[in-house]
Amino acid sequence: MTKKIAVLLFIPIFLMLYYASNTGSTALGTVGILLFIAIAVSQFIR
Amino acid sequence: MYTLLAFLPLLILLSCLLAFKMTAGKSGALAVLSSIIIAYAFFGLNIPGLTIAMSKGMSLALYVLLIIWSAVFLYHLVYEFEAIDVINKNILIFIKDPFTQFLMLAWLFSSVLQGIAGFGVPVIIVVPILIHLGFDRLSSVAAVLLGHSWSVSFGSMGSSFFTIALVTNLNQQSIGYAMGIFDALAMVMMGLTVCYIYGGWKYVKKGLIYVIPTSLVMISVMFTVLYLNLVSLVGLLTALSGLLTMFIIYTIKEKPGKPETLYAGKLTLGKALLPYTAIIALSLLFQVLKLGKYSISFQYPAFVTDLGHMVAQETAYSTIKFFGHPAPIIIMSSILGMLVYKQSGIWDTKKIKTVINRTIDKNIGTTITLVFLITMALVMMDSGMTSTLALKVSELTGGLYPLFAPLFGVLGSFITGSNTNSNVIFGKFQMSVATALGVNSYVMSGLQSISGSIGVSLGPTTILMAASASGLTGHESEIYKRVIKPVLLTALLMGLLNYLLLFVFRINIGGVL
Repeated sequence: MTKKIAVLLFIPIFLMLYYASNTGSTALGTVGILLFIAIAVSQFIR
Repeated sequence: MYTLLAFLPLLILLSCLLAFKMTAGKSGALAVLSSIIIAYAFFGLNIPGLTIAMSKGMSLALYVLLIIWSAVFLYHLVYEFEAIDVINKNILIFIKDPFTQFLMLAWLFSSVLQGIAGFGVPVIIVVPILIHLGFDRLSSVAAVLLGHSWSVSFGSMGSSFFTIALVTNLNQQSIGYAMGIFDALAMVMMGLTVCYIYGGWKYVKKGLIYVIPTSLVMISVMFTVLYLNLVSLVGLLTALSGLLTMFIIYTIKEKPGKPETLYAGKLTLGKALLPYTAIIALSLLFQVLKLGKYSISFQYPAFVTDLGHMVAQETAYSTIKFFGHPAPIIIMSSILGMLVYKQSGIWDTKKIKTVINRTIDKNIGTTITLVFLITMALVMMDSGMTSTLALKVSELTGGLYPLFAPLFGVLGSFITGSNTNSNVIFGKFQMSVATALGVNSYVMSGLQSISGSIGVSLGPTTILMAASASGLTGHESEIYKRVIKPVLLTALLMGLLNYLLLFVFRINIGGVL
């Protein structure tokens, strides 16, 4: 994953987490958290 | 067990940066991953709580990233249109001695900028100027990070200062006096540290003639402004008085004579400085106009972790004021700069494309790391890891706690990159410990704010800004190595001063023993 894609992915992840925070949607929150973790892990895959 | 687990993400971050010399991006990734796993598995931060904490982290990262992106854009703009060249050549005309240039810019000019704007603006502006004057990159970064750190608490028009007063609910003016005592120590220490960075002990000795009289004037001005209760202006007026004093000492000592004609390339000095003077002018103007209602902010519900740690509701989190946040001000100043370049006949569309491309290239890596680190800070705070750590240390140290108290201010700033946030996390805690020990709460709260102030130079946000502005992205571990020792030494001395004030002199501030 290129760094530019990672930065762009932060936008929908933030929106997902923010929406999930205020609606209590656990499913959406989980997807957001997993995507965030995937970006963190991708820092070691080059 | 829980204390060790709470400390693990910070240990991972520090070891990756300092011992394994990994990039900030990879270190941040490991640190945030470990904090998420530990918070979920051991601190009872369930999925809804984790969702809120991570979202809060990302909204705070947005606040900081807007500053970094706009400031880096402005830097490349003035660089590409050669305005920075005009500024540097004129500094050389006014102050010919390189040591004086270095000390004045890193210790005092950066503090003047902190007094007005703060939020990393001093680093973004002063570091490139020093590098273009021919100083070593790493030394320039370390000198500016440390040099202005004493002025953070009273800087940014007093935002950290108001926070400590707010969270402790103590009298503003009295807490200001307590902060002033510790700030005097930090001010002298950081002045001497900048001298040391320039040329070792030889220059510390040489710099005494500037640092001591200048500090005495600044300390007098600081307490006078506090006495007048002009708390928003303490940082700015103190640093300005220092800049003026040092220039007078230089003029008396070196007798440079009248300056030659000012250097003007394609731009005059006034036009070259315009974006920076506009930042100062607009910051002051928006402070006066009080246009705070034009803003966006985020809301978060309250929640309780499975272990019972309560997190309060946030109704206006990470508020970005359209006429108060540094990014809009920097963008407006950049636009003014572009208009002047056009009017001066040096406009070139190709250069603007270069500016945009360079801004993107410089900021991509910084953005990823920053999101990781701020998210880690919020996961640690909302899961109760940070408070677990703090309580354990105070329990272990007992009556000797005042000696270690500055480490909490530094830790808060190291985790969050912000003096204000450090005061939010540890302000009330430090006051509670003071009450439990039966010592003056003003002294302990003042110490918290100033130790948080010097700790900002270790903040990941500030370090990343500095790395980005100096072309040292990927070398963050080297920056940390240069900065960490002076911060810890100053914190140690502050702890000693704190202990003496509380237990030996039993100082009385605010009518509380």
